[in-house]
Amino acid sequence: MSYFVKEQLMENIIEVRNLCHHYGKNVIYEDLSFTVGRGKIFGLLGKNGVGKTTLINILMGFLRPTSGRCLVLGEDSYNLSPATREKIGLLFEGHLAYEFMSISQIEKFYSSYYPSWDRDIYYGLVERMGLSHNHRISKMSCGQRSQVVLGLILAQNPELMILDDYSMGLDAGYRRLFLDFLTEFVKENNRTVFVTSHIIQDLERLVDEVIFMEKGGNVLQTSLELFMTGFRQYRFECNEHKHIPANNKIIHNVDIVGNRCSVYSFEPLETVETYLEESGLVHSGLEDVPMSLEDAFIGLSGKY
Amino acid sequence: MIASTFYKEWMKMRLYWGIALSCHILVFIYIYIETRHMFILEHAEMVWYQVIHIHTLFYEQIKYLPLATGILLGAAQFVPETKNHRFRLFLHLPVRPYVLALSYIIIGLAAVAVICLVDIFLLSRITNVFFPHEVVVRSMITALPWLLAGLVSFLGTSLIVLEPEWPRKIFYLAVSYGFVWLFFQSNIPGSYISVIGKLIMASLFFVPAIFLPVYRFRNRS
Repeated sequence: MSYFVKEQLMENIIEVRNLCHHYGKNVIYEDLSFTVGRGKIFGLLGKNGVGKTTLINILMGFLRPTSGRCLVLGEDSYNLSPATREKIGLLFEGHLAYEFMSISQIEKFYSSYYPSWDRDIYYGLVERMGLSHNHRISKMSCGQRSQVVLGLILAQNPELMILDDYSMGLDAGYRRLFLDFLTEFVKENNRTVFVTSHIIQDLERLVDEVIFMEKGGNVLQTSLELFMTGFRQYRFECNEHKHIPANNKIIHNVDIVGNRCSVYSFEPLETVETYLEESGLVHSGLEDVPMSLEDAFIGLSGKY
Repeated sequence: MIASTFYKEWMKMRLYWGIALSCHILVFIYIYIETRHMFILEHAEMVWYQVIHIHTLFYEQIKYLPLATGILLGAAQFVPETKNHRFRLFLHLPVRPYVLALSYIIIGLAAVAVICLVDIFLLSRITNVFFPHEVVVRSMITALPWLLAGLVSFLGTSLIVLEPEWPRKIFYLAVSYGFVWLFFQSNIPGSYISVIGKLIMASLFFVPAIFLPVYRFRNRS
């Protein structure tokens, strides 16, 4: 790879191009492409079964894709050099850690592998728990373990952090603590984060960009701000149930609960209102309803 | 980094290593007491006759101890490493994974080997108390395949535990069992002397075999 090409790729911390992956005959992606730029927090969202875990495993280098390219910091993700792995902090689902070690033992172990290790960050985080340094990780709650794992990742001072469902098993307090430390670290150090979570309302406070993934590998990548201002929910009363065509240029999705009908669209209110009127579906009373990211995610991907 | 790797492996193994070493020492104390007891109850020439001419093994209690120790330490070292897919932590460390895997294996083998050396030392000392030099040498040669079985059982256990897929685990179990079985085919003192070199050479193939599960874990598709 020429120096110029590598430099270009380095502008993107992650570059996924035409990625295909199959499990036997089960096709996960056919042509997945997206990029992750430097210095932002990216949230990967998608319904169960769209292949988020598969993608995370490919990005982390534990799964070789069927075809296509997945470059992380300019190198093939399944063949990262030790020098590149040094720049990547991974958080595994369930906050995996060497549980047979204590708080101080695990810090001592990891510190020798990373030249820019910052033990103050680690102890600054874990000492908040008020536990002895000899406290074993196996005897910690999930929340406490998450603090240790985050401390280890931040102390590593990585350029890129890939966090796979950081919120799993954490209560609201620990989730908030986790996010506060992470956000502060990322903003201060201009780091890149690629994150998945089942708690979508947390991501609303965290991410700069979102990547919505659909079955088969279609993605919508946008900034959170653009998405939240551009994607709208319009609600109206419908006394008689009529079929409202969705998945077209104007109406992205429809959700009917009782006699309350919500349509989701990237178009402004007037366009949707005209479309519905022209289709003879509703004449007036269309209301623009504010949405959280979770509402918008459900509006985009559907409930089922 | 090397010190750090050793430190982590020691964390995992120290309790089980201590238990194994204690068991070995206790068994040798038992062998010493039993042998001394034989000399008290019977004429010394009768005991010598049984050991030198009838090939009675007064130290047979240690026969399967190294084997059990190898399995115990292999499991102690690699079960915590692979439980809950924790092997991914190992693979993400910024070191070439095969170098790291080799260092883990060397540390584990060294832990088993130290216990085997303690066995050799204690066996030679106890034998030397009661028997002539020729019996000491022959007891060493007799115990050598058992000790080697300990090292092979460690490698076999490591291979089985590290392997991510069950069909291959079962295959490795069958291969390891079959190979270790070779070390226990004869109780006649010195009977392995002509093949022990070949067995040692064949055992060495287990070391690179450990790279297979590491490679497969990294290159799953």
